[in-house]
Amino acid sequence: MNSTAGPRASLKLMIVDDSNIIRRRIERSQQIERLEVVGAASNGRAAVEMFRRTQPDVVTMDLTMPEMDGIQCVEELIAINSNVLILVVSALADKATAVEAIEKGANGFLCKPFTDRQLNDALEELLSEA
Amino acid sequence: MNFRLLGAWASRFSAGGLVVLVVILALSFVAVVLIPGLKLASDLASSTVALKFVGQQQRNPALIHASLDSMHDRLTNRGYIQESLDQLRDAATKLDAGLQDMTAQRSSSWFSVFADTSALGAPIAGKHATSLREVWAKEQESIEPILKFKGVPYQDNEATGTALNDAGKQLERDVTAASRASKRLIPLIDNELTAIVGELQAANARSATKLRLVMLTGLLIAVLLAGFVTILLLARQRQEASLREARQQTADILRTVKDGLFLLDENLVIGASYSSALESLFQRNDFAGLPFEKLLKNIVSEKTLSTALKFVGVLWSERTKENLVKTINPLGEVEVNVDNGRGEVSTRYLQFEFHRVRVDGKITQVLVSVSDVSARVDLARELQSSQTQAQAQVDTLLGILHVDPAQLASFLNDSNAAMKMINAVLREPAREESAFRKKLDTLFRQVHSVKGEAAALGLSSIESRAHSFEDDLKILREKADLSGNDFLPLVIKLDDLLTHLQSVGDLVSRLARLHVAATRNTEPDSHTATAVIEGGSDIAAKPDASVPSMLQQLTARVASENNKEASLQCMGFDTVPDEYRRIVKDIAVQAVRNSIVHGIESTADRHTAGKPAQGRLKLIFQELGIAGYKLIAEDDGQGLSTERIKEAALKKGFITPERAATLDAKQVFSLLFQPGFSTVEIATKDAGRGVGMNLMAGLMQQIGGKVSVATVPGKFTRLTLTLPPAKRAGNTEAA
Repeated sequence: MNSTAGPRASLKLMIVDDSNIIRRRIERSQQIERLEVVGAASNGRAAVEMFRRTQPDVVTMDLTMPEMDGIQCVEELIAINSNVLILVVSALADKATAVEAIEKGANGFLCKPFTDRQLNDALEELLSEA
Repeated sequence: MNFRLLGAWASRFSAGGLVVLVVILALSFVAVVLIPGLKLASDLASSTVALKFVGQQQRNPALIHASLDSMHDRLTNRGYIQESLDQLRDAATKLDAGLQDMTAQRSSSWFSVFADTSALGAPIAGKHATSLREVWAKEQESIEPILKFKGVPYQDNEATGTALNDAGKQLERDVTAASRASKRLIPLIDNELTAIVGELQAANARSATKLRLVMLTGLLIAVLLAGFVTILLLARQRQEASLREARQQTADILRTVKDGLFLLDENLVIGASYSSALESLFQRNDFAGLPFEKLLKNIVSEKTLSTALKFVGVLWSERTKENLVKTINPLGEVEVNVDNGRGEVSTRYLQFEFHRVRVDGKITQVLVSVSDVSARVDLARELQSSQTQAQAQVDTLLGILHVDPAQLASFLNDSNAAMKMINAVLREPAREESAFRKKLDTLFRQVHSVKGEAAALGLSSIESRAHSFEDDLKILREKADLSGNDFLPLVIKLDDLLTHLQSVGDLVSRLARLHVAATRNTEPDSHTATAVIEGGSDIAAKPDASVPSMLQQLTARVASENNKEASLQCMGFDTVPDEYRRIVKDIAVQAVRNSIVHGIESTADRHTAGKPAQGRLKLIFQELGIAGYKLIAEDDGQGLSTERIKEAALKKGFITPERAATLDAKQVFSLLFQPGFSTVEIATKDAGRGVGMNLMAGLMQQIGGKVSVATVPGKFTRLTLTLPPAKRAGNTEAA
């Protein structure tokens, strides 16, 4: 998907985090020109529902959330669209959980707390090819 | 040929290109030289055979002619003709067979291994075949009757002698006719045969020329081939040499590099090449083919192991962004316990880093580098600890800055004395259990008093150390059998406390020097810490003048820590004699604590009871003249409840239920002075250990004083301590 998308093609970003502050922070701080925020969800169930509706290309995903946790959410999103790029954004309390998320198909991990630069670097890396 | 130039030119080709070139040359050698050469050679051989054959045939026409002539002569001379006839027959048969052979239609094979007369085939014999066959047919026709002749051509009679008989006459006519025909025909045959020979020779010469040309080409190609093969071999050799060199360099790197390096395949098995450092890092040398899991097993925890295997596993997935998972590497810094080979297990910190290895864009292996980061980790810890230490020093300094210098000086004097006392007690030899108990009690009183005063001054760093010392003492107190060894760990605690007190003393003297320098505007003198502190005490007129303010601070602090409100009124402290200065201070500290923690109620409770929110504490020191002194400590708190005291005493096993029933109020209050008694459940630094009242009683006992308690539940508690006249204090050790 992203291999065919040129640098100018716009990509849709969905933010999943149970913290309102983090959601706003990501939305405000991300400065990747071709990324356009299409939605934000505060739990896994809402995220899956929104994912079906807005069909984003890129997702930032918290791990600990009510209703459905991030790992299960990653699994469900990949089942819907195996090409989606998922960046797990979570506190590094337990590396095993983070590794599990990657195992389920998330593409990368960004540790909370993060600086604006770290966020943008991570998103750039996520969108880079190979 | 300039080989160097050729080499330079050839080196532009890759080894593969050169090989292709050589193969093409070899094939063209076969196609251009060998096959045509073989064909030409076989042509040559064929035409040579053909020449010989034709040469043989050339004799036969002459023989036929000669036979005919000879027959004619013999017939004329009436000679014997059979020989000539046989000769004729033989020559005719041979020529016929030869011509048949030469002119026969044959499948012309491209080339034949065995030389035959095929050279006489179509192209050469073709155009001559017809005329040969025609001429020969005529000749045959003319000699046919002769060949058929049988018998004897003569008849003998007396008259004429030997004469030709009829058949002979006929034969003679035939021979004459044949001879005549032969005269015309035989040269024709001869000509044809000669022409054939000529053509064969010409063809032969052409073939030979061609063969020479082919051979020359072959020679050229062979030289080129040899050249290229030489270059190829040289290139190969050079390549092998550089390959060997590269291999050697790789081996050198792997042998010298400090990091452990190895490759993992898709099954997470270690590859055959790895750096030597790995052996010292893991104290083993069976890495080749070793599963990664087995390497980590027993040196990291089960959980880390399983996470690590999963982590390396996800690196093989193209979905995973290598740079975005570095932070979750579970082996980023792991504590491992490795047997160092001498049976000792050493703890080290290892850092594993993982890098994908791609070949043609496909992940083929994962390069793992392992480094020993113990030094770094240790350094970080050292830094952390020195930071903590520095922070603690700053805290201590700030704590000191808040304290009145005179109070601080007095505290340091007192605590130094206490430390000396503790040291002396610890050194004192003791064998009896009772002696150990006595030692413990003395230690306890001293430490408790240091703690109390430190708390009063807000010197939390000293207070916490004294508190921890107290903890150890408490454990010993509860221990059944005491021995000298039990006291050994106390020395460490004492040392800790002593060192800290000294560092506080140092800070104070430094501050004092600063103060002196600032106020007197003179150079800092070489006064010792104590001298300066004593100087400070002089300035503050009487040391005890600071006790009431210290007690005020203590009241405010303990009250706020217990979420209560309290005020303290001190009276008569300026009349405390030097001998009682310490004791009065210690008791006052204890009394303030007890009153606030146990006596004064919470603000809400006081409100309900109709009391002012702020609890009132009073400390009054009175001179009684000849009777000595009196210290009264009073609070307007909840008073002492005999029931609560009994309950607590029962719970802690101080009394039996039967005894509880028979105790009167005075006996109940005396429980308060038992060691270890407290009514609160959880000990804090202010109260709950059950130490304070006991200490108070101990102190009074020491100087021969008395303690009495007066209380009205819900109204007040009053402790009255009677101290004997000051002069008696020194010699009244035990009452």
